[in-house]
Amino acid sequence: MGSPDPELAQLFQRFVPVRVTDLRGFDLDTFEFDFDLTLAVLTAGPGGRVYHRFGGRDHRSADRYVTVPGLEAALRSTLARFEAEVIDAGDMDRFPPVRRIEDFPSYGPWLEARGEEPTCIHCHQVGEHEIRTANLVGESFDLDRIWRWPAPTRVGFDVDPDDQTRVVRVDEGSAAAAAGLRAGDRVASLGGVQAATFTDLQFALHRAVPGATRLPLTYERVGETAETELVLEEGWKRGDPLTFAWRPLKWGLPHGPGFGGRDIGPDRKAELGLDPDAHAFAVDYFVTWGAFGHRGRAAEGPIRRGDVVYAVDGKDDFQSQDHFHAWFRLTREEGATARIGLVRGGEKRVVELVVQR
Amino acid sequence: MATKDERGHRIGPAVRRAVWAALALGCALGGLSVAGGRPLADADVDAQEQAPSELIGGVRWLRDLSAARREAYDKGKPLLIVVRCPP
Repeated sequence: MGSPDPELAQLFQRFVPVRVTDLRGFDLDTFEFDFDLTLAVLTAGPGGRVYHRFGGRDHRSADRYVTVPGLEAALRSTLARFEAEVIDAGDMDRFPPVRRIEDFPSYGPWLEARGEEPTCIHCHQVGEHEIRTANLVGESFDLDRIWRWPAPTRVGFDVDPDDQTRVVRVDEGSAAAAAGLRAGDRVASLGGVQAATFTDLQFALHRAVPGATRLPLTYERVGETAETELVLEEGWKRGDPLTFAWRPLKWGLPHGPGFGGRDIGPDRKAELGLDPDAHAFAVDYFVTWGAFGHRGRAAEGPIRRGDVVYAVDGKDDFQSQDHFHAWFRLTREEGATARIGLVRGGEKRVVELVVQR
Repeated sequence: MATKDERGHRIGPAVRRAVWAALALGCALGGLSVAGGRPLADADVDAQEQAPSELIGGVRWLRDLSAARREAYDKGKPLLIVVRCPP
């Protein structure tokens, strides 16, 4: 299966590596990561103190920041910090309290309805159980909670994927610009989180409150260390639905359209008189099962299998079907009429769909 | 990394599977690049997941986090935790 990168392999030898492939029994608080990811890396002391996180992504790409230099930086920083730390002999008996996915109130009923023990619990199911638990106890799920693990671009700066504390861009008019950050600066810590990776920066932003707040920021510029603050306004975590679209979390949100399908290619779009570069999909399923079955049943009237959907309420610039589903859930309201732009039998038409919870 | 659709169907199964498998095991192999990772057959992944520990790229990987914490404490080493989840 190939040879390991020699430097990385040497670094690995200085750790106790463990692969987690099932979240059952996993301590969600101690080893918190972005549960929508399919790959996450954490470095930690045996007592549960997490030093660095790696593997995070934004909406642009799954692996933009998953780089060997990025991982090496996390490992080196971990070793330096670990070696400077005295492990209390009592630490092993003082593991922090465990919060497991099995502890969610929704887990038992979910398991019972399923009828059998699953072969594994996936990471993205943490989000599903957050929503299910909120529904179970009669609360509406606070939509502010979906804006999790914000990328640094949300506060106005971006970092180099190969050198993940080095700032490569600061957006004009952003909180980062107002704080005095510049391209070339190196972020040392944000919100009290010592940074070695893009994902550490995400974690610092993730654990900050979504309301108006100030986050201390320490950075280095030409060998000098400076301190400043990011001043963030109410709702700063919220983004465009496109930035949320990649997350599996979207499937559990209310107001789904109740149908979906397969993307069609540019030639077919051109044949139908659609913009070949715009997104469109051919309907090939209705959600007629489970808790959201009412959505599919409501959609089956106005929408038909084979319809090619290209717009909703005049919006025709979806970048993917994930974008369509995220946008629909985050912007349409229960009981409203959504006007679906589609092609049926070679003709463009608009049909009306009453949005279901 | 993408995801299943709401039917539970994996989107672009061959491509997605290759990506996450390459990333997850690529960590251990030191590759980490999608292009450098070999798409794994289901049997490869299933077999890997049965073992309490495994040798990948010359590095022994544990499967049990509690045991790993104890071993890390005994050896005075930090933990490297790689979580690999299917989409």
